[in-house]
Amino acid sequence: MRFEYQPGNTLLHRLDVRTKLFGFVAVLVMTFLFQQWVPNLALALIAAVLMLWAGARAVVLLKILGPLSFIAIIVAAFAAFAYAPTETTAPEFSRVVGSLFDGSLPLTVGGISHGISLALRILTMVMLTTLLLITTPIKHFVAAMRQVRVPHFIVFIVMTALRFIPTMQHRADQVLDAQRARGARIDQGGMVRRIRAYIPIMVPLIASGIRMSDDLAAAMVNRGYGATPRPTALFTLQAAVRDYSAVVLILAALTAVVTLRIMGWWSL
Amino acid sequence: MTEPAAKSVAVRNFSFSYESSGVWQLSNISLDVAPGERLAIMGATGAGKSTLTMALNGLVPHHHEGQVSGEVVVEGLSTTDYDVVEIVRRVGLVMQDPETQITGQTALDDAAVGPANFGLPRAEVINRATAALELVGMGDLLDRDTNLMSGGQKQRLVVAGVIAMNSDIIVLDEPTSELDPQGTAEVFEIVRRLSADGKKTVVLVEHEPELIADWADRLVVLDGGRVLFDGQPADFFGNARMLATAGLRPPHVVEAASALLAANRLTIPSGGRVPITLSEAIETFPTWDVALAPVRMVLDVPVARENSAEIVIEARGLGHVYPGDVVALQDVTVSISAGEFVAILGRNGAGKTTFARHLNGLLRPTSGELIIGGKPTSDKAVSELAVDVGYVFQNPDHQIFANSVREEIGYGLGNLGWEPERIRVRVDAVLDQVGMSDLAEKHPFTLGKGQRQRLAVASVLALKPRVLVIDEPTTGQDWLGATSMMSLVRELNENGHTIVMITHDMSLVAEHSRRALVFAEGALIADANPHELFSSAEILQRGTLVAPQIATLAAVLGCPQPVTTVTEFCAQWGVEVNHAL
Repeated sequence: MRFEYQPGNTLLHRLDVRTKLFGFVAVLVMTFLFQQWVPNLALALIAAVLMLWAGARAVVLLKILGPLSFIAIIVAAFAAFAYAPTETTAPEFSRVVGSLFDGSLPLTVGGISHGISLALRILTMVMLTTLLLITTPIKHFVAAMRQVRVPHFIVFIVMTALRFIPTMQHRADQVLDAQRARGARIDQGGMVRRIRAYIPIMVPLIASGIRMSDDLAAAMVNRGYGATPRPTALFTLQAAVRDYSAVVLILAALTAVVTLRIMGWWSL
Repeated sequence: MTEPAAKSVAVRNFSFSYESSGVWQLSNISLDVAPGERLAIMGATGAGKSTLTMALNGLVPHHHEGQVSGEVVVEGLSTTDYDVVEIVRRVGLVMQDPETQITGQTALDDAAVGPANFGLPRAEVINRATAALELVGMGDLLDRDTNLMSGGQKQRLVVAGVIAMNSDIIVLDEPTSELDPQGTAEVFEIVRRLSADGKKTVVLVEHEPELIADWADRLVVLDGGRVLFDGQPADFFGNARMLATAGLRPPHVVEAASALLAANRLTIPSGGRVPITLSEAIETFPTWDVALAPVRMVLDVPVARENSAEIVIEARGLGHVYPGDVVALQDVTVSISAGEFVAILGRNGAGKTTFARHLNGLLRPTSGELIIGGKPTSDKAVSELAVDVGYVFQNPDHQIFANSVREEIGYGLGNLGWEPERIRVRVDAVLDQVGMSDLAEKHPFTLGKGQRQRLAVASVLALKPRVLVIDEPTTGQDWLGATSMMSLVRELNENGHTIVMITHDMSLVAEHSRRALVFAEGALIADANPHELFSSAEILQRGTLVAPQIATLAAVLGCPQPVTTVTEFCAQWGVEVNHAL
């Protein structure tokens, strides 16, 4: 699994999940503040470097970015052409470098910058999300939810859903194998045929899911679920010096970016 | 509502009917359980065993609602008056299917769920969970991801989770039904440990009579929601009529002793009773002597088919390595001839399923090759191989999707592109073959477990495969269901189908197969007939297999030929066993 926690001991692994979430939000805010492509490219590169640092192999990085870059290019192209020259603040961005359909769709310098920025934002966000997931065990997210006083039943739902993903995946494989053994061809034919071919997969899977949820509910009650509104937490998050330092650094960076942005840098 | 403390549990005229089922799952049950007692509960499928276990901790009628009369009183508290969260502090229940009872990411997280739900201090929660995990032999696996555990580990984890709740009464509902012999032994060892010092009251639902006979102080047998028997296990196992009514089988030694008693080949001292455990049998049965069996019968000893038969499956140096360099199968060379009945044995993870899944192309060899019907399988799709090799999976519910039995059976034929009329004719023939003609238009989900398993066989059989791979055909079925499934499989074998059966049930192997392939750590460690297998301590040990009880008894008594079934055992004494119930 590409988005599963990968044990490691880098600073990124050791940081408190709350610090990481704060950093995540800070970078998101920055990428939306930057409207030009250069700073967005810098952020994307930083994200990529962080991923490699956290132990994601280059191959994995390419596997995630490969299919996405196709979407990113389309988004960039559409955005670039859709960007009207009048929307820019500085004259150099309105400079037309080419056009489609006899000049009815002009391509401006600002448009190109805007398009590339959009594409880079997508890549940055996906990389950061992956980074967060591969450096943080599920139990830290759950602890964070608990510590911000999310009601226990919601924490429990999240925990259970995550716990049962591999189980359901396994169940789906079993069903698929059973139907393949009866000659099912899942990947052939047109759209309608394919959807029809999935019925023999979905029916047993859903039926088994319903049975499992029924049994799970009984098992929860059986273990005293609901005896207290806030069950004892086995694990609580502890912020360390490194977390406070990281938060200060992130805040400083964010303040700098906001200030410069107000002064008019990196806008279109 | 107070009760004398002398009773852990008092069930008083308790009846229960699930909402809208229209049937009484339990009717007028009365029984008392004393503190420290080891109580076993047996009964055929649908007898009400699981419902009774859930009634003991209040899941019935609080979680599973329905019509109730009478009451269940646990340590003085009536389960109808008190909420489940109060009752579960007193009665811990290990339900069937560990998979759905595990919610934690790691062993420690999961074992801690109960005490954490009670809101105990963190240190206490961790202490209890750790102690419970140590008790079930998982003290070194505290951080193990629950998704990566074997079936046996999952089952032990669930037991630990219940132990951590510190209740005086522990109820276990068929904790060994889906485990390999090793896992069964481990779980049963925990049950023994729990009940050893009489501090805990243990109620165990179990279908293996050998285990019950060896452990229980007292046995309650349910039949159709009623108590059929409540007393000493020996009184029940020695009573053939009652066994027949309940649809249960006695331990092997009881079956053998009864047959020999009836033929006056065995005498029991006055005041004694039929032996029900292996050690009792060893004391009671005389050592075998040729004089005891003047008319010793010659049995039709199962032997492998002659070499002249056509080879249908041939593996040459077959190996499989899963992604992540996990070697699941290595260098397996074996050939199976048409018409053979081969059992595939070994503990979980030994490579049984990996091998079997190659037979119909669900897995491709990563080394070596596999030849089916003389042709290499490498370039064939699973859908093409389905016609040669049918694969019946363990759980029929993983494949049943259609609205009628007929449609379900016809699915594979539709995939082959058959015309509706031709499918109808073929489905009728298959329905007849498996004895389900009268159920053709029924909805599969209304069928019982045994019938659904039969339907799974039928739906694979429709494609007329020469080879049938059958994965654990009797798991989760009671004795009658298992017997009827096996007679179907045997019939198919007699009609020419080659049978490859994966199983943990050594009695099935002894009764039905002529050849056993034993896997251990991905390698084929033995290719033997059941006689050789069960008389070789070395193979049994390497494959972590346990010989049927009767084979062990015969060996201790010094019977001349290897004996693997009760029929063979009795034949040594010149006694023929009547297999009718």
